[in-house]
Amino acid sequence: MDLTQIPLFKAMAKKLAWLGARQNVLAENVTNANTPGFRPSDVKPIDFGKLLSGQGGGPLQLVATSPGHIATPPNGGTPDAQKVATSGPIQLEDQMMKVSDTATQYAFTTTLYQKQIALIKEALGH
Amino acid sequence: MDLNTSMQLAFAGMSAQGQRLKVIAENLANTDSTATTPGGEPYRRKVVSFHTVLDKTLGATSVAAGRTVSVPGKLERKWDPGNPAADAQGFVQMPNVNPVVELMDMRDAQQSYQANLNVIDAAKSMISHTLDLLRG
Repeated sequence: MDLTQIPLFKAMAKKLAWLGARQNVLAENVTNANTPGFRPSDVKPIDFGKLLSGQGGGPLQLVATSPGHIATPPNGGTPDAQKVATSGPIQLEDQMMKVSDTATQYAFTTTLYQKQIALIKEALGH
Repeated sequence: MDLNTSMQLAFAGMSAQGQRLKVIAENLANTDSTATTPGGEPYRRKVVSFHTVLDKTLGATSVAAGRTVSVPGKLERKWDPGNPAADAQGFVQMPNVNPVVELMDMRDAQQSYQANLNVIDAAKSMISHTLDLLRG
């Protein structure tokens, strides 16, 4: 059984990767809090509801219209977590809120993951 | 692991803020440092400049403390004929260090340092949660 084939697990793995990427972007903002001319950025939110219901929600895929075309990479070459510039100067309080929010969501998702595994184990009769 | 990038960035931020704190301490220590020769230039307030650095191994924008520059500007003159730095009229040029400004700057550096520490804490908790998955 491949766990990644289960939509919920797939969505959770994507969410964890997204949260990790967001944490990196926030770290970039905080470390450059006193750098003149630095523009803060954030990660574009993904619709995880859509991801869960199997409607994609990820980046658009290129379609080959002729068999002679070079095949596109499965991910379309675009990362899932896209950086977007936010307006205004950096506010450390705001960044701290985002950092703790990301960490909490990460803990929530990993707990959910554990619970799902426990549920599957239960079903298997362990 | 990817979250190490967050930690590395925060470390870079902390070291830059540490550099800034060092310069502030230097300013505060030299609040009354006058020249040693008559009519000479006293200590001038220094500031450190930060700039972004593209860290290619991390693939992220890091920070580094750049040059430390002395702040130009008018110096205050104090009448103190007994001072070795006094000019012919008995005036001594005093450093352009304002302790209140330095203290404000210090608070700011401290706050930024703590913000970086918070980022490390958050990244650490995220890594430990990931490791907890192994325990099932």
